Amino acid sequence: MTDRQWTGKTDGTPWMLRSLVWLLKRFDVRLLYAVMSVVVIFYIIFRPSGTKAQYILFRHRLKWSFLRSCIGVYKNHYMFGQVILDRFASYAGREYKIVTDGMEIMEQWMSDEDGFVVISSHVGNHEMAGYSVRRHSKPMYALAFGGEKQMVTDYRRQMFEAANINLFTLNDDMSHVFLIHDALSKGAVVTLFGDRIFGSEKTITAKVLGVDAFLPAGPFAVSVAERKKVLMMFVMKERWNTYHIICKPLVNSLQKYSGNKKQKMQELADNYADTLADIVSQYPTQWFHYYNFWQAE
Amino acid sequence: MEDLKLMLKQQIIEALNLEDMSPSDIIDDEPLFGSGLGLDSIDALELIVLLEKHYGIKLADPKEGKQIFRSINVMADYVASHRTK
Repeated sequence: MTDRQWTGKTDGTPWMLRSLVWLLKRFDVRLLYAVMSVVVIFYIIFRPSGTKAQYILFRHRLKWSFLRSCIGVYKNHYMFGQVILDRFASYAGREYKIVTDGMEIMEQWMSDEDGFVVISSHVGNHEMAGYSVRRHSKPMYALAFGGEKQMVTDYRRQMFEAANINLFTLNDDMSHVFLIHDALSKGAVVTLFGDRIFGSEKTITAKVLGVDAFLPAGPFAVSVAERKKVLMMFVMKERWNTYHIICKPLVNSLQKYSGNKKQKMQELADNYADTLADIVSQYPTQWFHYYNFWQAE
Repeated sequence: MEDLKLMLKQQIIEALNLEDMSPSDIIDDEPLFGSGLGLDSIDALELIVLLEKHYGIKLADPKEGKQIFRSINVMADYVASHRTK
């Protein structure tokens, strides 16, 4: 496993997480935001690798001043805390206001016979899409990190069932590969992450905010091998009770291709990296990669 | 059977973009995954698509798939007895 492979999971014991859901059923989430505004300071101090990763984003990629970068690091940690609380508030039954951009493309593709790939990213709150999209007869299969706590996975599974979304994990016996192929062959939707490496260690290098980064080859390889179009989906927090779902087709996945697969995968990865950079520029404090993302670092 | 093995090797090289390899570099009884050719799950997807596209073989059982992708010898035996085109 490389140092760029994701091994993170939700902090806290199952008892603490259940208590959090209990609290969120009884109190306004903003009360817990206030607590979170203090708690994140300890994360900034005692998890220096995550703090450094965020500082690199603000200071070296976005070229912010030293002071603004430090404030950015705090805001990012606080925003991440809010996003985690929002997930648990959803488990507790809270509903968020959703505004959408490009959702009509997804609706159109959902009504088509052909399957497609959705690429999610670790910016904003991608899980919120699963709690907000309307139920379709076309099933969706979403990749979930297998190392997550069982209790969190159970909550997710329960929430996603309502939208006909099935979770799957990466397994050593490669059963996920058969599931992906079978799902796409039958016209279903498969959701994968475009910005974090887990499972296969094969990567594609693409420039994100002007600097080379390793992206997982998987999502792009699936699209090319199965000849399926790709929709990028970002779910960004706008206000305390509002999320913005942004859907954009990966333009070059719509074009028929004949030729070098590697080249096609690179085109897809470059297109995705450009869009990811645009989103980060619009929502700089919602970049949730707390590890060494860029090759140069 | 030797012709089928050669054809499989050529198709694998093309599907997986193994540009710096030739069919003679792939040993018939060498494992395709892990220690041998070093393929991984992304490549497995390409092999599943390859068998479906060229030989009309639909693989759905991961256990069976893992057995079939053990080596070129095993793959060729399976293709010879299950191909529909």
